[in-house]
Amino acid sequence: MSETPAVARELSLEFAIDEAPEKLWHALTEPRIVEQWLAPVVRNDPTTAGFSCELLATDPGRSVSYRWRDPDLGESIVTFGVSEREGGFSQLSVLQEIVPMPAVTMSGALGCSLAIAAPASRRVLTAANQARPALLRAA
Amino acid sequence: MIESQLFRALADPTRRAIYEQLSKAEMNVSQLNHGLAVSQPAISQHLAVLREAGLLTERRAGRFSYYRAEPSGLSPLIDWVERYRHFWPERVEKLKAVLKEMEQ
Repeated sequence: MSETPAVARELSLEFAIDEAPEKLWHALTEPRIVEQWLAPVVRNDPTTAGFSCELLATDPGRSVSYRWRDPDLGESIVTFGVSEREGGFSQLSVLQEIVPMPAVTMSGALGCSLAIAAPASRRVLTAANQARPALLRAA
Repeated sequence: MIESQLFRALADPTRRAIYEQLSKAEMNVSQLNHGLAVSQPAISQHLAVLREAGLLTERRAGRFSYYRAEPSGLSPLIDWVERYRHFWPERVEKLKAVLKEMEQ
């Protein structure tokens, strides 16, 4: 049970989409369309005001990851997963993981060791669908 | 920015392990050292980071400091999750509307 963390740092949600997976994939990856329902797709441009996303990686047809910038809550990594449901429809998964900010307020020695903190290693995460109980288990 | 400090504090697996230990019982550094394969100075550093992030309370008794997890320190994280639990369903509704208008 040592693998079970008390603190969830990710959010995982699933949605049924009544469209073909190929079409959904297109809407998740084509910048012109992503902008219509989510946010502008930018390239390494943290100066953009408001929400923005930056393409990080794709597994074509299956999953796409963006660096998500929230003007209030900071950065996170959002991964959309596409799979096929019965009847040719799609299942969309949304996985959002917190990325620690670069160390700015820590003193030198600590800052160095903290700056290498990896974005959420899968092993130590809990699904946060039951967010409150999972988060408060430590309390 | 307390959020980033909090997220950074919890990004490290050893710190999460320390936080979990301290959520079960109040301990000092040497008590923590028994349960973790980390040096005592390293634990002290981790404790400092957790305390800075508002995740610990410290009580001094004689020569020792005793630490305990401070559950309210997690509230920015809970707010984060709550906000996005509402955010994504709204955006997916928008996505569905966009998909309907797309030609295939």
